[in-house]
Amino acid sequence: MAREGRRVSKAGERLVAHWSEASADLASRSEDVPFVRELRAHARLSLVEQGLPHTRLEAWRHTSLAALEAIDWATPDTAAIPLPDRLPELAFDPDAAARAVLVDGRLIARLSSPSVPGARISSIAQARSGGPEESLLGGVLGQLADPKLDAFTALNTALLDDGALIEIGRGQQLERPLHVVFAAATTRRLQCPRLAVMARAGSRGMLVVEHLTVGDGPHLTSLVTELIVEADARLDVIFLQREGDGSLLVSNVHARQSRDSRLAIHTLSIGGRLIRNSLACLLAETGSETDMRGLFVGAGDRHIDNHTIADHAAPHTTSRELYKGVLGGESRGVFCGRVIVRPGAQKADSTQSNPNLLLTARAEIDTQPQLEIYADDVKCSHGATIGRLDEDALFFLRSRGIGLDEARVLLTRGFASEILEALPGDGLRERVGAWVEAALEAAIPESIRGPR
Amino acid sequence: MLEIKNLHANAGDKPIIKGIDLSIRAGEVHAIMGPNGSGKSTLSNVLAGRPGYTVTSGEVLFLGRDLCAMEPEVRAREGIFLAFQYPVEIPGVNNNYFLKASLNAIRSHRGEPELDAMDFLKLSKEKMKLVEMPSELMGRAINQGFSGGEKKRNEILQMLLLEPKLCILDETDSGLDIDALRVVAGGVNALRGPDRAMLVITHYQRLLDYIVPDHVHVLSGGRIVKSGGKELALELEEKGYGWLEKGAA
Repeated sequence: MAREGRRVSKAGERLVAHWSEASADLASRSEDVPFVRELRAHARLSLVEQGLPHTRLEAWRHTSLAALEAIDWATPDTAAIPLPDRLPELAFDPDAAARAVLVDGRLIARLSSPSVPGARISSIAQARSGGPEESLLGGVLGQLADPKLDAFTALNTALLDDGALIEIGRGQQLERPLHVVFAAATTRRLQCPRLAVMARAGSRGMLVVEHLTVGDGPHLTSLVTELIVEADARLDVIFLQREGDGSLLVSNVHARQSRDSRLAIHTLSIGGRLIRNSLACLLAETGSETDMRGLFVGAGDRHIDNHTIADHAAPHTTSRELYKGVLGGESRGVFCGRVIVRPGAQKADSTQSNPNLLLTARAEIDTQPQLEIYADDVKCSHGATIGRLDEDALFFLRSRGIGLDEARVLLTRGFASEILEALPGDGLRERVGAWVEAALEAAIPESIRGPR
Repeated sequence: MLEIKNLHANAGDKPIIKGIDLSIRAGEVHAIMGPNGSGKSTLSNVLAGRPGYTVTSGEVLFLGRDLCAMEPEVRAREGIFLAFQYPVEIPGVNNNYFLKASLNAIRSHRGEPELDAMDFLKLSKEKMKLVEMPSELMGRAINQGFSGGEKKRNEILQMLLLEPKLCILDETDSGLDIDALRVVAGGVNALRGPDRAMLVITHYQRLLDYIVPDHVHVLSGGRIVKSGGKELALELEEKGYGWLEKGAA
């Protein structure tokens, strides 16, 4: 199906050929355990079979990869020295209980402190060549992310090298967050880190996943995250996407939830040139609950695409979804929220909402819900709005002496605050609040200079 | 303080105000009464500078300066305050933060130093007592989840904090029970003074039992059809507006 009507650029084909070779080369150099070797080989075939996505595919209709294909990712600028030493001042959350720092996709041991009572973070590079973590890796890696269904999952798996393997122990209640930092440093390098998370039964934890860049790039990151949330576990995952203007990020997240588990995923897209998030949550067992929240802020010509799936496969499952977009400049946003209620998933309860604020005439948003409901006793609601700042509210603030520019900033911040306020942890909220504010300010000024 | 001369104004494309002359001096309280659709709210919106309301002829001078040439925020900083009939709810913008930003914008325009968080807290607590406003409302988003009475109290609180020269009250009594009305009027009366003028716009006479005006004007068909003292309000209460509207036609 994908083959028909395919319009892949020559550059795209060259990239896929190069990455396929790189995958074979990596396989020949690595001493992977058998299941990893097999997974990688399948993924390589899937990648070649699919090629890079193009806008004639429904899921990529609004997101062109022309900007990605225009860059020669085959020749990273290895002369430029990555600056891992600059990272501490850039990134680290002082509240974190444990941290893993990956630069260009490789875990840097001396910047990481992976152990904390109740949880551990290990290197996937080590686990995939055998050792004590092998069976944990086998329980997560490739369990949810199928290379056949998505070209970037195929790419990431074909080039699987390193990443963070995380286990939160049975019944463990983590007080402080785990922190994983993905730093892109080398210009024109593709990094394919992997995140494999196992939240054991009855555990409670919080994971902060932060993307940032060192230098101007361009950088390309394909991240695949697999989250297994066992019965009664509660997991909060916060994706902080605050890369530099030259960065492209494709993030695929797959989650599977067992009985009475709770998963909250917060995705804050506040930096970078192109971001594509695909988030799929499988509510596999009864009583499981998913909360998906997102804030995306567009400035300049940033493009942010959020595709989500809430897959209700069991009765009495709940999904809540709120994505807010603030788009300035010539930025473009895409939101596609799919809700599936499978046969027999009675009493499924789903809400979805995607309000958007367009700050300029040239900013754009494409938003659409996709409901596929195969059970009859369900509650599903959805709604999307696209608007400008409320004129009555603007006038009210001005009538109290607040200047037009400041009033616009206040209202825009107010619009975004709902997502910020729901972030767990005071320290995190404060840290992220400052970045969001900076992102909003970058989105607003171009707009307020425009006609009133 | 305020000179309105032969004012004609539109709401959108529709001519509503059709020749108003009104002069308000410092220390005076004027009431404008009139039936629905007479142009009362248009007048208050024109004075505050709401977009969508345009002056087609005539002029408005505030302390000798052309009011219509000023942006709404400049009017506010110069001392004009409109207490809204329907205060807007603004999700995500903290009431306390807003009040402080508002007060400091006006203070810096007056050349006064901005208040820090501590000084502002002290001042706002003092003013909140006057309008019997529960302190938890300060931590919420502007007017969000406020009852009708709480929204009006919040309006008067803003007025008390900003200490404007000209207060315009647009149907401030609408939706208030008698206790809330008494509290709100108490807040307004606390601001009465020789340097301040008030323009009270109302459909009903009952607000004027609490905020006693020096002058009462009846607006009908976009014009002032009758002016008098406070006894005019009582007369209107008794006879309704019909007899004046006929006279105007």
